[in-house]
Amino acid sequence: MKYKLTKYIKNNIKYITLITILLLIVTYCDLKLPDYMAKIIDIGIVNKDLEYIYKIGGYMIIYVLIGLCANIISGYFSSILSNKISHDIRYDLYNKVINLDNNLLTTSSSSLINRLTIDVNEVNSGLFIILRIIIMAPIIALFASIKILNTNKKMAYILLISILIMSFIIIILFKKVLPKLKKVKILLDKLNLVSKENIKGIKTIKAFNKQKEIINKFNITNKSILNTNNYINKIMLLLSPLITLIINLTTVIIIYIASKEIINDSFNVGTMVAYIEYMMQVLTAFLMFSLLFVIIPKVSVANKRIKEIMNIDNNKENNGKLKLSNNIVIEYKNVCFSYDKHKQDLKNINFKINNNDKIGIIGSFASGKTTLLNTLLKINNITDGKILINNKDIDEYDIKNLRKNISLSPQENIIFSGTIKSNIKYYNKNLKNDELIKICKISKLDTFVDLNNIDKYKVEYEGKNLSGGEIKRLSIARTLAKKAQIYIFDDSTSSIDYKNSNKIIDNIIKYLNDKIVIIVSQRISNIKKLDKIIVMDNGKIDCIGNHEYLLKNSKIYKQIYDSQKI
Amino acid sequence: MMKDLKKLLVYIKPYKISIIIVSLMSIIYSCLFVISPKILALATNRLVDKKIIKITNLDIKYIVNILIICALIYILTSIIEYVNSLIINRICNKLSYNLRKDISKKINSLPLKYYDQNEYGEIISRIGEDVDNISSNLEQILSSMISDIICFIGILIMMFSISKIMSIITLILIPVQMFIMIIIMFKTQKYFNVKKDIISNMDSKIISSITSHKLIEVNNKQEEDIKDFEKINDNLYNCGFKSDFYSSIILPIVSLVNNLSYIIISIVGGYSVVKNRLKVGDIQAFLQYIQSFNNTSEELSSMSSTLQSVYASIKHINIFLEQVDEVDYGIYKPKKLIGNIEFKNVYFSYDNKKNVIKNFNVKIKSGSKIAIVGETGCGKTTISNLLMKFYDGYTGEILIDGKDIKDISTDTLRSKFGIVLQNSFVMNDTVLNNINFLNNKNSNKLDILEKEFNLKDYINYDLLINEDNDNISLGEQQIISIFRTIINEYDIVILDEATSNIDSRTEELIQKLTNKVMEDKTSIIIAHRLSTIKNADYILVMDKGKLVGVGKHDELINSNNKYKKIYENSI
Repeated sequence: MKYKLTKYIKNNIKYITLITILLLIVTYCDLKLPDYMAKIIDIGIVNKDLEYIYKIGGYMIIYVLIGLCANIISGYFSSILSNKISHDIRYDLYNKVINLDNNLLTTSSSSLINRLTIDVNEVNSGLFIILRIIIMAPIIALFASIKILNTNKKMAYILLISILIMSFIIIILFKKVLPKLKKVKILLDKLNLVSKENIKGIKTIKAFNKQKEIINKFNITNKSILNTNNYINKIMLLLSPLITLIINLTTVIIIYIASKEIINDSFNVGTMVAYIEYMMQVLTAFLMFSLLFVIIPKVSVANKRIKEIMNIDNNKENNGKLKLSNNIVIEYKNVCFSYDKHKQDLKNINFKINNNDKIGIIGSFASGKTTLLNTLLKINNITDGKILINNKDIDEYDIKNLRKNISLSPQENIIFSGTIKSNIKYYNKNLKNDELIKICKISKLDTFVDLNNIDKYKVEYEGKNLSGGEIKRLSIARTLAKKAQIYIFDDSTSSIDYKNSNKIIDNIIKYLNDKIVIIVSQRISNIKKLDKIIVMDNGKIDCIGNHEYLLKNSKIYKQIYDSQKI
Repeated sequence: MMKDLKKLLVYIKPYKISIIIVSLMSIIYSCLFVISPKILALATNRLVDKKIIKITNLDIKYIVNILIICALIYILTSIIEYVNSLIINRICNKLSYNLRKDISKKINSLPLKYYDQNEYGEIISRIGEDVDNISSNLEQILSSMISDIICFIGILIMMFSISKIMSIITLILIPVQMFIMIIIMFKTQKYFNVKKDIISNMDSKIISSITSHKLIEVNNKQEEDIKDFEKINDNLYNCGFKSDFYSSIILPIVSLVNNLSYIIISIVGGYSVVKNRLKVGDIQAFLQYIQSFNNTSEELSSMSSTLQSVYASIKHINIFLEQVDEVDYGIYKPKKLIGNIEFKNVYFSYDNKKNVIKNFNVKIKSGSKIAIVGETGCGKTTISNLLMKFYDGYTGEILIDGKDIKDISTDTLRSKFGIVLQNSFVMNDTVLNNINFLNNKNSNKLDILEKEFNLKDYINYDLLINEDNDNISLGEQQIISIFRTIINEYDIVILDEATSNIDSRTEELIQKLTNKVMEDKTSIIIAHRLSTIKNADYILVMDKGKLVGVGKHDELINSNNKYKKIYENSI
């Protein structure tokens, strides 16, 4: 479903109606004052009746109080409305982000924060002002026209004509200016891009002495912004003087007509004074339209940024119903995968994992190890070939069940703020204490944690108070705590010293002897005891076998081995 | 403070005549604006006289004359308003143009050191937000400050001239209104503070969810995570609702006070007219004055925050514009560099704390190819940075062809170097334009290269590289970066080899091209590839900023432990 801002307006239409009604009352009360003013002049003053003047004053106060109440209530509902809309957009946006496929999430977290907070607010408050202007101006104009229509048709026509002219002018100006506003927006983005590139490539630019050229490139855009802005403003600035002039001239005409009638004794002075008041109200309402020029572009920019995220389409997910059983055999048949069309990230991957297998994967940086694991987790959906689990295509399995049965220790250091204990139990809240202690020993957490007092170890956000090796160990413990059929350790030993990392791996293999374990490592010593080691190179499998076999048959493996043998 | 405002004045100064004209017109505008209700009142008075005193021979001509005068005033004020705002707007647009231009110039004249310490996002927001902020707020100040002040005073005078009592009543209500508003704002402030806390909570929730996004996905924790977020979101809703509601009361209060003064004026005015102290037209004018009075006082009171915001932005920009530029004392402009390079006792530190280059001594002979090897952070790249005068502040001497590089003009020096950086830089433009790199002409050298290497098989010249540079592989980016260097004239080559993995076909081409770049030239290679290291005339081994070994591969592998270790790790 595509994201549309109007959806949030539609969902809250009842609040909008309610607010509109309340605003009608407010406006009605406001416009009642000039009416009474007219009565004071026409009856009170003309008849020199002070009593009457006071009485009318009392009525005026009643209306003011009604108006006040309606105004406050409308403020109440407006606050609900605006906060509800932003709450809902935030909810939907966050939902979208969390449910997005991991490899589609390329926006930085700071940018996402801005979108979720500042942009949502910008859209919401802007939307709110736009609604208010669009509702208020016509209401005031309508009421004023009706009031005048009741007493004098000629004047009412004149007012209606001037309202039509004003609306016409506003529409024309908007039509002329809006595309240009968009153009400025594009130009500004371009300007930002040029300066971003300028700073990013500053070393290259200086090395090639191209400072003048890049400044010129910047200034070409800068100049077009200046010219477009000048054009926009030439038109936009017309709005306020034109509307003021039209209203003022209409007032003059109305007074002229009124005067003629007053001379003929068919019209009252007070009514004329009231009309002048109405005109002032209509003027303010229409002048608010010029605010739209400022708000609409702002809203549309913020909205665009929200839309960008909302409209990312998740990859098509083939979701089946099969559940994983206890004995698992996984088979990769000619599996290929690419992130984009330009490059194949996995090429013709063929291998088999039997139940209880312990697999090692080794290869240089960016050789496709993590990409390969991601295909099993269905984070990456393969582009060609087949992954079979117990002879059934992986797509036939229920993705949630599949992931429930895999426990992953990712390459990235992910630590939650809380305690050591809360981190370990993150995916298994029911973990028993003796099991927890056992896991801590396996992952050698006991080298820096007193297991008897494990509750008191606080962990800061991102594990800032832990060393790299400690973070890795904690991540291993968390992975072991989850009950699963398949355990994957992606580069989990990289910051741990050789001796301890080997011990940890031995422990893991022993502990998980009836599970499938996949260990990715850059170190031969970590994996050389495993029966099956996959050597990856450039997105391809170079060779599979045990340590001795690979030393003989894989040049790459031998190279790595030689470099690490000291 | 004065310094920053002076800076702003420098930008405004060229337009002082325009601003004087605008100010004069503003004065005329204000006078007309203030006087017009009073003129209109004359007509009303005449009409009421007719009604009450029953003048029978009232001349419509009198009224028409007044109305014509009013209409003329209205037309005139509208014209002045438009012309004034147009002039001011032009000034402000030009001002932002100039500010942007100066910032862009500054970006290119700052030393590289500045960019080590500052994020580009911050600099870009100067160009965007701060410049916009200055121009739009300044526009408001310049176009309405003078007329607002004059109107404010003028209206007050007119009000008092009509009725002292009514004026005093109106003015008394203002502090009452202020008082209520302060109480409300005080109340709201509390919620705003809570809101800030909730938002920062939300920020950290988002950050932690984004970093653990993969774990959330593979552990089926999406719903739980969204629930956590929803708690914060609900809090934000509740708090936001309260703070918005309290601040929404301000508007009704303001209009209540306005309406009350309207009613009081109506009653007191009516009373005064009955008692023959006032005329009806005066009440009508007075009511108009109150409305304008409210508008102008509102605008004037918002002026201080507008000024503050301009000041804050000016200060931001000023901090940037006053950074010290890259300095160049070199006046010597050699036509050609022979390529004898010498480092004498060079020490260097990026942050004035830790030396990254320590007692560096080396002589490189013209025409030789040397490879620098060492672990990350050992100072390899720094050597090239110093040589190209990207950084100064080193001690010791660096000589090229016997001349201290401090005495050689920076631009000339850099133009004699052909450099290929480790991180290839590409722009949102076509591949061809990226190769020609901000030159308008196509280099004919490219055709020669094309014939030699059949480049069209490897790279599509017309491909438009997108903003994120993700429709082009790293290998292709490297090819572009090497081309960019080859098509220029240069005497010395600095080559910082990239470490990223690329496919073997591209790798092969890059190898060929790098050999081409180095042909017959003095070359310094910050090496990562075994083949480059082996082909070098000699190798400099660096460790923690020091030179720990010089020699050929075969010699070093046996005699130098550091080199042996690096060699073993790199394969």
